[in-house]
Amino acid sequence: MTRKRRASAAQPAVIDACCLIDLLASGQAESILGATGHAWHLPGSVQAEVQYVRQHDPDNPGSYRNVPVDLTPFVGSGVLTPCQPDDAQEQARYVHYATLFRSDGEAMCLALAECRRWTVATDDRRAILVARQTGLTVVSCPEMVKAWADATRPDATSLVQVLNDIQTLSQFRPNPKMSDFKWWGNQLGSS
Amino acid sequence: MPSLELDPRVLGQRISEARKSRGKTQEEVAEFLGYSRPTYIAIEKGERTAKPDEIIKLASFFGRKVNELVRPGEPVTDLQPHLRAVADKMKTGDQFQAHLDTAIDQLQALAEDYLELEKLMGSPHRPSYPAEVVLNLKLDPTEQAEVVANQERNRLGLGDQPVIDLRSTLEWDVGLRIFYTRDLPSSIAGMYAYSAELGACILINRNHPPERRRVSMLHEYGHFLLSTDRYKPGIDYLTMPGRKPANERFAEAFALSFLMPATSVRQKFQDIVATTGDFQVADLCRMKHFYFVSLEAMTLRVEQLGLIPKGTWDSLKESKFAPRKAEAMLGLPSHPVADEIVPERYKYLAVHAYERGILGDSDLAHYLRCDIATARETVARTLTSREVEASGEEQSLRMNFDTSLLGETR
Repeated sequence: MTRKRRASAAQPAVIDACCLIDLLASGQAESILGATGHAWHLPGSVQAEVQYVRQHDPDNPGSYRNVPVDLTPFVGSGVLTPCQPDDAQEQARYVHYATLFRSDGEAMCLALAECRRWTVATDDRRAILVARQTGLTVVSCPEMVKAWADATRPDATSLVQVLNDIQTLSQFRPNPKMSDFKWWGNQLGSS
Repeated sequence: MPSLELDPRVLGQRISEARKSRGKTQEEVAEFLGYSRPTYIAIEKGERTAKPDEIIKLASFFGRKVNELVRPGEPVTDLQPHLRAVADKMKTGDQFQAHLDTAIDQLQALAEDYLELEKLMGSPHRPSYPAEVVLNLKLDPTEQAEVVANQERNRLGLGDQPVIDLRSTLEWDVGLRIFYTRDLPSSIAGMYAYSAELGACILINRNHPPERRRVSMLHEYGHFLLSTDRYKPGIDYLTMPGRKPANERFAEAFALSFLMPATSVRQKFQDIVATTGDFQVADLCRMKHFYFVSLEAMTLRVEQLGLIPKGTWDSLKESKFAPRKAEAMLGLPSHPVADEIVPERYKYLAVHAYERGILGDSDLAHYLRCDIATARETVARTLTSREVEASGEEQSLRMNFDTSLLGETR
C-alpha cells in the first residue's frame, strides 16, 4: 500500500550506475533516496552494472574491500522499482543511446528518462551533458544528499562521515557545475 | 520518432562476429529470432537493418552489451578471425578452447578501443618498428637471436643494462600494443597478431609472475621481428614439447639475450668472482634480481655463456630451492610492476578524453576495464604529481593535460 501511494504521489525518476554507487558508498542510500521525494526506478542494465561497492575493511583499518551489491532489499521495500524499455520507441531510444555510451546502463537510463519524461539521477559527467542537451531534468549526488540532510538533520559529524565515505569509497568529487557543489564543500570545510 | 543512424553493413559485421564468438550457427540464431535463415543472413550481410528490438534480443542471446553491437566505426576484421583460426588448430579441450576464445575476444575489444581512443583524441599511433629479420636457416637461430637482440638494444638506446620497465619501453619506443589478461589458460604465455590498422598487438597472461611476463613479451616481440612471423598470428605455450622449429628457438633466445645481454652478464659475473673469489647461489639470486628475470632464466643464461657448469639449474630445481624466499633473505627490494590490463599510453588517452569531457565516468570505467570508483581513482592518480617544495614539504600538484606549454612565438 505504501509503495503504491508513494509511486502515485512522488515524481518519477530513474537512477544510473554512477549515482547509485555514490549513494551506496554513503551507507545511507535507502534513506537518501527516500528523502528526495521521487519515486525511483532502476533500469535492468543499471542493476547489472552495479555489482560491487567499496566498503571500509574492518580487518584492515584505512583500507577498503569490494563487497557484492544486493539491491533486492531496495526493490522489496519499494525504494527502487525495476524498469525496462517496453515499447518500440523506448527500445529505439535505448539503441540510439547505446551508440553514444559504452555503458548500456547509461543508455537505458537516458532512454527511459527521455521517453517517460522522468527526472534522471546521474553523476556521470557526459550523461549529465547529454541529458541536459535533451532537455531532461537532472539531479546529482550533492543535491540528493543535501535533500536528505535537510529532511533528516543529521549531526555535523554524521553528515561529514557520509560525504567523506562517498569521496573515499566511490572516489566521487562534485563538479563545480553541479547544484549544491558549494554546499558540499562547505560541509567538509567546516568540519 | 527519430530513425536510428546505423550502418547496416557494420552492424551486420558486428552481429556476425558476436555470433561466431558465441559459437552459434546462423540457423540457431534465426530460430531464436523466429525468422527464416535467409532473413537472418540478410541482417548479417547488411541487406536488412536489424530493428531495435532485434538488436536488444541478439545482444542478450550473444551475452554482449547492446553497445558492442551498435558502436560506431568499422570493426577490425583481421585480428579475431585469424587468431581464432590458430586456436581452432590447437586441438585442445572445450574448456581450454573457451578460455582461448574469451582471451581472443578481449584482445579484439581492447585493440578496437585503443583505436577509438586514438581517433577521439586525434592522436594516431606512430610506431617505430625495426626492419624484418630474415632468418638464415644454415646458421644457429640462437646465435642470430643474440646478434639481433644487441642490435635492437642499440637501436633503442638501451646499452647493455637491465631494462626494468620493459613493457613501457616496448610500448612507447617500439609502438607495440601490449595488453594483459587473466583469462588465458595457465599453459599459454601469450598471443601475437598483426593488423593492418593496429600494427602489432600482444596479449600476455597476467596470471604468470612478472619475470615470466617479461620473457613472454619479448618472445612475442621476437616473432614480430622475423620476416616469416610478423604478419602471422600465433599463440604460444609456456613450453613447447619436442624439438622446436627455428623461429621458436629464435624467439626464445631473443627474449633471453635481450633481457640478459652477454657482455653485461659476463662483466657482472667476473666482477663478483674478482671481488669475492667465488660465485654462489646468493650471487645468482642478486643477478636474477638485477636483470629482473626468473632464477631459471638467469641460471640457464649463465650456463649457456659457459660461466657455470651445465646442469646447475637441474640441481637447484631438485634441491627445491625457493628463489622468492632467498630474495627476501637477501633483502632485495621488489621491482615496480606494470600489470594493468591496458597499456600506459592507452590509459593516458582515456584519462585525457575524460578530462576533456569526451568520455563520462561509466565510459572511462569501460575503457580501463575496471569499476567506476577505480576509474575515478586512476584519473586522480594520473593527473596528480607529488612534488617537494623548497621547505621540504611534499605537495600534490594537479595537472591540466590541455594546458599548452609552448610559448606564443617560436
